[in-house]
Amino acid sequence: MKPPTLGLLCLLLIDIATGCKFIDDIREQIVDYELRNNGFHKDYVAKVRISSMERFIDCRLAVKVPIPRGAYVDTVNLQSSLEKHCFTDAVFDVEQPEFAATSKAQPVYFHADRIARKQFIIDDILNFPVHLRYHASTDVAPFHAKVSFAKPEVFITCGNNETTIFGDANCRRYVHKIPCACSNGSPPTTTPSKKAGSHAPLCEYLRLNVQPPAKVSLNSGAQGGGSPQVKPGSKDVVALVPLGDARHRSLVVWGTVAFNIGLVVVTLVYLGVNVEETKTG
Amino acid sequence: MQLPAALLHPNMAKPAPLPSLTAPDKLKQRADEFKVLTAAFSLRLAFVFYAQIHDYYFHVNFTDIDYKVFSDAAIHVANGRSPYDRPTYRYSPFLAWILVPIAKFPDFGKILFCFADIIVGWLLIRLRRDQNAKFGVPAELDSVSDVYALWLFNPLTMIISARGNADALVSLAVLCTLYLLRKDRWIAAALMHGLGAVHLRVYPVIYLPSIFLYLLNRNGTSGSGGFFNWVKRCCLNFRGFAFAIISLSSFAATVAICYWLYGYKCIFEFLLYHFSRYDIRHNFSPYFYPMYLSVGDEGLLKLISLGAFVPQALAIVGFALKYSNDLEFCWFLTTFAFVSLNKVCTSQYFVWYIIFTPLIANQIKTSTPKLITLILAWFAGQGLWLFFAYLLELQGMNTFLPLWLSSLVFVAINFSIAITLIRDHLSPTSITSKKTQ
Repeated sequence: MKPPTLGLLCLLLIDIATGCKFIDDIREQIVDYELRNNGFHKDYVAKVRISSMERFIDCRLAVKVPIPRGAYVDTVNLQSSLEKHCFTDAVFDVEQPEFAATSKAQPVYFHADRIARKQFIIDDILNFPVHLRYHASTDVAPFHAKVSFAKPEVFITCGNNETTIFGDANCRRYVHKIPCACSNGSPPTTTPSKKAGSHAPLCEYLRLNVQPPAKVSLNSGAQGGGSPQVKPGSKDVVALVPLGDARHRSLVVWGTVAFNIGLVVVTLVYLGVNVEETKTG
Repeated sequence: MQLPAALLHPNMAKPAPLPSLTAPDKLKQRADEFKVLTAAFSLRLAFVFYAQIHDYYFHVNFTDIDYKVFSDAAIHVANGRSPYDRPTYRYSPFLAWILVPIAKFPDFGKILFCFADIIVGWLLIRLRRDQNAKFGVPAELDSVSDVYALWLFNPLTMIISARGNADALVSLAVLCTLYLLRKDRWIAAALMHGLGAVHLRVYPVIYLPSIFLYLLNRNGTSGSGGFFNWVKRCCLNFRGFAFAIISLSSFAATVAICYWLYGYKCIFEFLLYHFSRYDIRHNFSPYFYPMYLSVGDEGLLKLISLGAFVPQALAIVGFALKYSNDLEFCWFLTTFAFVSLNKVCTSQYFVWYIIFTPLIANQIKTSTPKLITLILAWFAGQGLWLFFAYLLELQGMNTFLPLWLSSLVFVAINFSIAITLIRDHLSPTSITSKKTQ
C-alpha cells in the first residue's frame, strides 16, 4: 500500500486528536440517509449512530436536514408524521415549482424526543415525508431532472455542556447556535421576517462530524490487486423528477384550445339542430 | 327517473285539479322528510368521527387538506390576527370568522358543512315537490327519492362535506338563489347571489346571463316579433339589470369591506389570485400541460387563458339562450361545461353541478341502462386519468403526454354526456302541454 493511501486510511479510521476530549472520545459518528419511494412523494430516512468511549450524560441529538430548492416539506402536516422527533418551523411555498422565485433551499431542524441518560451509544432514526417540485420542461433528453440532497448535519447537546464540554476551550470551535427546541405548534404564518428557525431562541450545540457509512471496494490495480480500500461514502442522495417535453408545446397548446372550442361548438350546433327538430317534429 | 307514462300520453285529457294533501298527510310527509334528513346528517357525523381515527392511524389523511387551511386561518382570527397570515388561505375572510369556534372545537367546521349539506337537501326536497306539483304529479307519486339518492345519501357528497370541504356553503347559497327566484323573490335572490354565492366562490357569476333571460321571460311580454324586438325587450328588462346590479354591488361591497379590514393582501388572495393563477400541476383539466410547457412565455399563457375563456363563455351564453326558462337544467349544463372547460378541475368541483341532478332527473327521458352507461363512462374517464396520474406522481414515470390525452378524453366524455342529456331532455312546457292535449 502506498504511503499516501496509508495516510488517508489512518485519517479515516483513526480520529485525529482535536484536543476536545468530548469529540476525541467519540468513536463512531455515522449518518446513513436515503430517500425511499418512487415518484414525487418520498420518505426521507436518516439513521444516526454516535458511539463514545465515555458515557453520554443526558444528551440529545438535533439533525439539520438541508432541503434543496427542488423539494419541499409540508410543515403543516409534518408533526403528525414524526414519531420520535419534533421540528422547528420552516416556511415552504408548497405550491410553486422549482424555478419559481419563492422556491428556496432551506434547512429544517429536527430534535429527538429521546434523551440519552447514561449511554455509550446513541442510535436515532429520523423519518419524514418530503415532496419534489415540478421542474421546468425541456426539449433536450434526458427528460428528467436531478434533485440532490446534501448530507444532514448532526448536533448534540448534553446536560454537562456548561460545566464540562463548553468549558474546554478546544471544544469551542465545534459550538454552533441552532434552534433550542421545536415550534410551539401554533399555525404557520407568512410573516416575511420569519426565516426557518429564526423565531425560535437559539442554543449552543456541538456540531459532530458525521459521515455516511464507509463503503469497501476491492483495488484490482497494478499494486497487486485484491486489497480492500475503505473510502467514505461522500455522494449526495439524488432523486429524479420527470420533465415535460417542450418539443410538444405547440401541439399541446393548440390542440387543447382547438379541441375544447370544437367540443363546445359541436354541442351548441347540436343544440340548435335539436331545437329545430323539436319545432318541426 | 321518468315521469309516469300516463302523464306523457298525448291523448290525456286535461286533468282535474289535483287534490292537495290533507293536513295529517302533510304532517306525515314532513315527518318522513325530517327522519330522512336526520339519518343523512347522522351518516355525515359518523364520517366526521371516523376521520379522527383514520387521520391518527394512516399517513394519507381523510380530512381535506383545505380544512387544515381553514382551521389555521380561523385560529389566527381567534387570536386577533389576519386569516391571510396563513399561507394558501384564498377564501373569504368571513369564512374564517364563521369557523372561529374551531379554535376550541376542531371538528366544528366539518359539522357546520355537513349541516349546510342537509339544508341543501331540504331545499332540494322543496324545489322538487314544487316541480312535481307543476308537472301535475299525483300526490301518491310525489316522490323525492332522486334527492335522497343523488344528494342526501350520495357517498360523494357525504364524504366531501365530512372531509371538511366548504363547497357545501357555496352550494347552499346557489340553491337558495334558485329557490328565491322560483318564489319570485328576485331581490332577495340577487342579494343571496352576490353576498353569498359569488362572495364565497366567484364562479356563480356564470348564472347571471340565464337569470337575466329568465327574468326577461317572467315579465309576461310576448316572445314573438323577431330578433330586434327581442333585443329591445332585453334593453328594457328592468328586473334583469336590477338583479345584476344588486348582485354585483353587494359582492363589491363585501370586497370593499374585506379590503378595509385586511388590505390588499386580502383582495389578492381572495379574488385576484384566482384570475391570475396558472396551476401547472396535473389535474383533470387538460390546460395543466399547455400551461406547464408554456411557463415563461407570457404570450402563450395569455393565449391559453383566452382559449379557456372563449369556450366557457360560448357555453354559458348558449345554454342561457336556450334554457333560461328551465333554470335547473340550464344551471346544470352551464356548471357542467364550466367545470369541464376550466383551467383547473379537481373532484371537489363536481359538487357544483351534482347539486342540480335531483332537479333534472325527472326531466330526462334517458333509459336507466343508458344512464348507468353514462355514469360508468364518467367514472371510467376519471379512472383513466387517475391511472396515468398514479404512474407520474407515485411511480415517477414520465406520463405527461398520456395524462394530457386522458384529460381530453375526460372532457369529451363529459360533453357526450351533456349532448345525451340535451337530446333526452323534456322541457317543463312540453311536459305540461302534453298533459293538456
